[in-house]
Amino acid sequence: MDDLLYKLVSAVVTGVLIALVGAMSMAARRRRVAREEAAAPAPVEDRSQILLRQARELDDRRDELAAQDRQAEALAQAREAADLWRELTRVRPGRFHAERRAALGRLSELLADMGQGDQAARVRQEAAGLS
Amino acid sequence: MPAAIWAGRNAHPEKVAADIAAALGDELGLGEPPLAVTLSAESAGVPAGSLLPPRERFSGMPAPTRCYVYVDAPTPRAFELRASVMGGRSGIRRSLGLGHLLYAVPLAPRVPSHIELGLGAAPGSVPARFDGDTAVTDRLNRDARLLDLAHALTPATAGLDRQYTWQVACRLTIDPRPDGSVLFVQTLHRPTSRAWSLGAHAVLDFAARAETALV
Repeated sequence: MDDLLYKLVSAVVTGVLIALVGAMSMAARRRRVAREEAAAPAPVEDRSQILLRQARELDDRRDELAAQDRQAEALAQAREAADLWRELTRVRPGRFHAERRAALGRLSELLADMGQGDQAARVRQEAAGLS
Repeated sequence: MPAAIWAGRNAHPEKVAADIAAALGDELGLGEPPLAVTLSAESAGVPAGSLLPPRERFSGMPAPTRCYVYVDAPTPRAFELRASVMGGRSGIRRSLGLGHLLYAVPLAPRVPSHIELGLGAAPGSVPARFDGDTAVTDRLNRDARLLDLAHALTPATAGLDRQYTWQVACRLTIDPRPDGSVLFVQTLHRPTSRAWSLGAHAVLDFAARAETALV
């Protein structure tokens, strides 16, 4: 009987010790990770967010310049904007097709206004090819 | 919690991303696995156009985050997943393991304000229920199956095994958007008979039921 009791108590004590060590180990690891996370620099914006912001700014600038009848400058902005929307749709597959199509549409209009009909047609074809 | 662990030569983010995409494809019965990309640990975890919130600065996990895997899937219904990938050791080998899974699922019905699954009381007492606008939460709380799904999706404890466990934050919210609302579910992967599951099917099932309840 004493032997059985001894074995039971040993098993319980061993189980408690194992659970305690496990809990302490997890707590220590969490504290260490939290310290590392606190020391880490602030999260960095995703590159696609930067592209999106720049593309929208270029779209706005293009439209402003076009409204001021500064066609050549508007065309330059439109080309850059179209490049950024192309890059964004490459980086984010399945997204921003409508925005890219709109940017290509404006680019083709500006190209046509500046007498570059062939380029305008190619750009319109690219826009039409987007689903 | 046995696991989604990649050790040795498999312990690199591209392999993890590929396996996550394959697992999602299998779970959801997709012809092609969805696109999964890796984001660095320093990233805010929000690609352009994403509905997901920026990642939390403090993960609450016992291992450091090595990277994130971001999935943007249009089928069977649009959803996004950001999986945190933790780094550690499996024996003497370097290893990577899955941490939190945060889903964002756009919903058609619009909710007037933030809805969340309230924190449950101690085990055995009244389970957690949805908190928020009364007109909306009454409809959600009337659906017992919906509540069961919500509880199943939001475990409060994670761990390598029975001895090594830690508490995790529960998160299931529905937030208003200009053109509807968005469901956020933070969950963990589950072991299956052969491998592990990301719970995507359960999350989308919950989203469908919540949409029905909200109409």
